[in-house]
Amino acid sequence: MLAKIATCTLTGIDGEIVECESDISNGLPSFSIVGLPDTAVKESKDRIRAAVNNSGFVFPVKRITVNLSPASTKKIGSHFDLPIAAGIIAASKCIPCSKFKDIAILGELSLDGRVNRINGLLPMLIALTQLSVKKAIIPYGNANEAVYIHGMEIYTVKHLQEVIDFLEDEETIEPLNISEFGDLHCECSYECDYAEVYGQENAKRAIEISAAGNHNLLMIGPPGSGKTMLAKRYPTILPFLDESQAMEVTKIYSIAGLMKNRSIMLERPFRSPHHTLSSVSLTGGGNHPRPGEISLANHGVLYLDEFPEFSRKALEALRQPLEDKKVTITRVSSSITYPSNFVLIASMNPCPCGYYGDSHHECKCSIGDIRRYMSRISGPILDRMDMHIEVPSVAFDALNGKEQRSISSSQIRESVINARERQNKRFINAKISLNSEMNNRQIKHYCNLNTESKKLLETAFEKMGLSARSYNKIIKLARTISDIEGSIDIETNHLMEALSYRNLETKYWNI
Amino acid sequence: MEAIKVNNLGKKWERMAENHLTSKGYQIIKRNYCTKMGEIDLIMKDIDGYYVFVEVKKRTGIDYGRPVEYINKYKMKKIIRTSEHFIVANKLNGNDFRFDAVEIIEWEKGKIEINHIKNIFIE
Repeated sequence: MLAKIATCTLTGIDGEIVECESDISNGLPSFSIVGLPDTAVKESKDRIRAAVNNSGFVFPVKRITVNLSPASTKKIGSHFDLPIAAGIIAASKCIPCSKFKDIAILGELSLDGRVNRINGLLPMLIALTQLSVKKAIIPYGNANEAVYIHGMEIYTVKHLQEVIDFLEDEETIEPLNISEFGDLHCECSYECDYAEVYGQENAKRAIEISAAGNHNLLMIGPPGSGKTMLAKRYPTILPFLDESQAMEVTKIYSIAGLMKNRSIMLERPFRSPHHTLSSVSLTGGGNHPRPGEISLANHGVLYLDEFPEFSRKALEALRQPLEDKKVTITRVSSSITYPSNFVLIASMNPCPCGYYGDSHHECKCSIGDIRRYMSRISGPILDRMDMHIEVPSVAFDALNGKEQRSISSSQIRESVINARERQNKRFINAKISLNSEMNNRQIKHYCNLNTESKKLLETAFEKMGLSARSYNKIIKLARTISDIEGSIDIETNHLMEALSYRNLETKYWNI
Repeated sequence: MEAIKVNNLGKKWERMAENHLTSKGYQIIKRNYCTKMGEIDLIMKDIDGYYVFVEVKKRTGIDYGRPVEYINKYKMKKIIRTSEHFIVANKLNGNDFRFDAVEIIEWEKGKIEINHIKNIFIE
């Protein structure tokens, strides 16, 4: 008496089909699960026995062997409960194998036989559709996540009994209604707006450029000048995710177990971890690598407030993912690649007391203190920040709203979306969509500089002591500025503006 | 294998357990199956064709726990190994097997409770 049911396991964000074979034979009663199960899967034995007995079936007093094939890959997660339990009942009731052909089952069991929601459902379903599985049975609690999966009939169940009835054809469950991604009208209302930030028009301009081309941004300013306020409003000017991006982001959140009751992630993620975080929680890791903050910020924003307070190890770990837009975590058991295509926004004070260079307060720090403080941001990290801006303390008049009304998020957003559309149009044949993603060859191809600009850049390169990387970053930045301005070529003033976002290194780091 | 001498103290209660099971339709196959590694009180066959290895436990009162609580890991190991011996010696491979316990509680003189617990060991 053998039953074979398909299920799925995850390695990173990709799924792999797993055949769950349950065999019941005569002999001394025993129950063993083989095929490299993880501790959580081994524990499922006790859940399965209780769930089967408590939902009106008899757990067979036989020799039961469950094999999860391919036996060489490690099986992690609690979603094997339901296929194993269904397999054991099917084998003991002699339900023919043809009944569960093309069906994949995923779900965790409660002791009373109820089916609980699981983590990582979306990536598993996507993998199953790609492997042309026709039907899937999933927990009712995960229904929200599955509504955008096409090419598959999805049935949601609340209880083990329903699964068995379904396999026996006694009861037909209606398949889940599939929604179209295009039908989504997302009117996400944000609680904050750039209109609330008075003054700081220069900083807002820099943020607009950063958002338009995904350029990393470093804000330096005294305490209370509005750095955090500016950064918190960053997501309000970003366009929503498109379908493939939304799927990728949702996959990662699903694996990390952060989906709660959301169906799909439409807003761009905004992650602002506290500065005590470890390098592993930033990049991802663990025995079976889980996504870290940089992967959770994929297609969105990673905001690091109080930049120099982060541990050196954590900051340096950012170097490679910032360049590669992905992070590969290697452990003994496996090597997993998670995407990490995020824009880094960082904010910091210019010195330990916070008031170095401020017009209203006197800085109490010695030169040595300031040097030590600033040296926590290493050269390589600073080099990877496309834009460095100062956020000075605000004048009273600006606070009181006596100056002209400040620009609102929706206005900035419109300009960001326009600039992004221009970039998309330009890169239609390339595999990229934003200026910051250009490689050297693409820079040569897409960014033509006039003679005057070339000369300017040459002078700046020598005077400012730019690196090859920052040279390229300046050109990309100038490209984004010209996209915001709607110009086809990069004008000299665009280049000058781009260069102006690079001149703080001498002021703060070379004292 | 030569039978090892059995203590007669529990005989009375084992007989009581046997009668209880026979009244449920079980057939007796062997009493006090003894080997070097342990002993099985009763080996019976139930109506479904299962060979049932029965451990009988008797206590006077439950002040120190119920009788079945005295069947521990060590006892379980001994019973399973003995049952394997029985299966091989009698060429019973391929049949269904089960381990049951019968607990007898003597609440007071003449007031006896018998419980039959099926399928006590599954690892």
